[in-house]
Amino acid sequence: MLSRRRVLFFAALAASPAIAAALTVTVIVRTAPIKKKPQVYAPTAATVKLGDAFSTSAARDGWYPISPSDSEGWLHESAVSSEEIPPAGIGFNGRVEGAYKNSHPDLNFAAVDAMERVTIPEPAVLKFAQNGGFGGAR
Amino acid sequence: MKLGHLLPLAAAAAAAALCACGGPNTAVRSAVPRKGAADISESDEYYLGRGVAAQILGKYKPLDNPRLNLYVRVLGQAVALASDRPYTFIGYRFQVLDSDELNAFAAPGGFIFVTKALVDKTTSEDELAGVLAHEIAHVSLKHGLKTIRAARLASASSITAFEGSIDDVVGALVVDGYSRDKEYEADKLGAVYAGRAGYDPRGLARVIARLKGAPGAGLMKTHPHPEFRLEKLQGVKTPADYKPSAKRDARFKKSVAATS
Repeated sequence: MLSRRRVLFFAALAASPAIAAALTVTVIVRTAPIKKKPQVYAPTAATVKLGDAFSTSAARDGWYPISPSDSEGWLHESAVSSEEIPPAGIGFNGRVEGAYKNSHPDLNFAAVDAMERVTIPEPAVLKFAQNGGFGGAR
Repeated sequence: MKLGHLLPLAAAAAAAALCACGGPNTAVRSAVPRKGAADISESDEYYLGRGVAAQILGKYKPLDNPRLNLYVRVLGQAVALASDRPYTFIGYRFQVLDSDELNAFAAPGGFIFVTKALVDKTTSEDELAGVLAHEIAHVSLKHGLKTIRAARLASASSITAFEGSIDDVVGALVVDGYSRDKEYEADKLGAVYAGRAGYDPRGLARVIARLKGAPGAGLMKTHPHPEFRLEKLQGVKTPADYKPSAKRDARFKKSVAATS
């Protein structure tokens, strides 16, 4: 059975900022916004890129608090991996796609490229939501 | 002072300390030489999604209607941002397909397609948002990746693994469909996402009800019967504070009804 002193030590350890801040998250998408508040429509403080890593504490409602350089902000959990070693990958990349494309000329990668080129800026999405009577995602 | 209530906390702290040090997980991972589903990165998923999308766009022609495509793209982004997975490797992309078949597809990574025939089955922005939300839920839940057979990923050749994985996902999307449970799961989660975006969570159910009696092709072949889907959505209600909007109706009519 644990002694009272040992139990208190573990309890204090669990609540300590040192443990809370021990987490590192790594960006797993091409780019991701750091938001000034933990909301998708909040202003963007900075943009981070694939492979960038940040010290943080536990996610709160899907958002990790981080403090890169001079700014403070929030990264959504879907944009990062909190695993010590993010998934290594199977090796699907442009070279593999190129080989596949060459052996399947019937597939329409040109239309995929055209689809991919069209980006909808976040402010346009927010304006659309607001015009429709919404304040954006809840 | 009683200490019993602190024991779970202490155990959690000990477990957290072990995880933070990289403990046994690291050793287990390094001892497993073959690749598996857990090794699929966001980047892998993106390239896989491109391959699946290329297959779909090889079978179905993209609709050349800039106004309708733009409307679906912005609406889709609004719903995607309300999902549990608002950020994928490059973000979500939406395309209307020029087809009389009732269908919609979600390729891994967030390439989402809906046929013009299915768009025409919707009568409001809330309903179209519900259709897109169902597809976004498939992406969020990574249903496409879960159809890939383990042996594909264990292949020594990345190109063989890539081709086999694409075939597995396309087979599920176009030919066999996902399991019934996965469809019900996407229905329910889609209703949640639509509601979070501000739409009536019942929008998808209204579209499904309209599909009763439709020909047995497209999504009627790959999805459970509408009656079963509606039964599973019975618990989804329109929130008391939901407000219809004349502006939403107007832009829906301008973009969808006017192009029918």
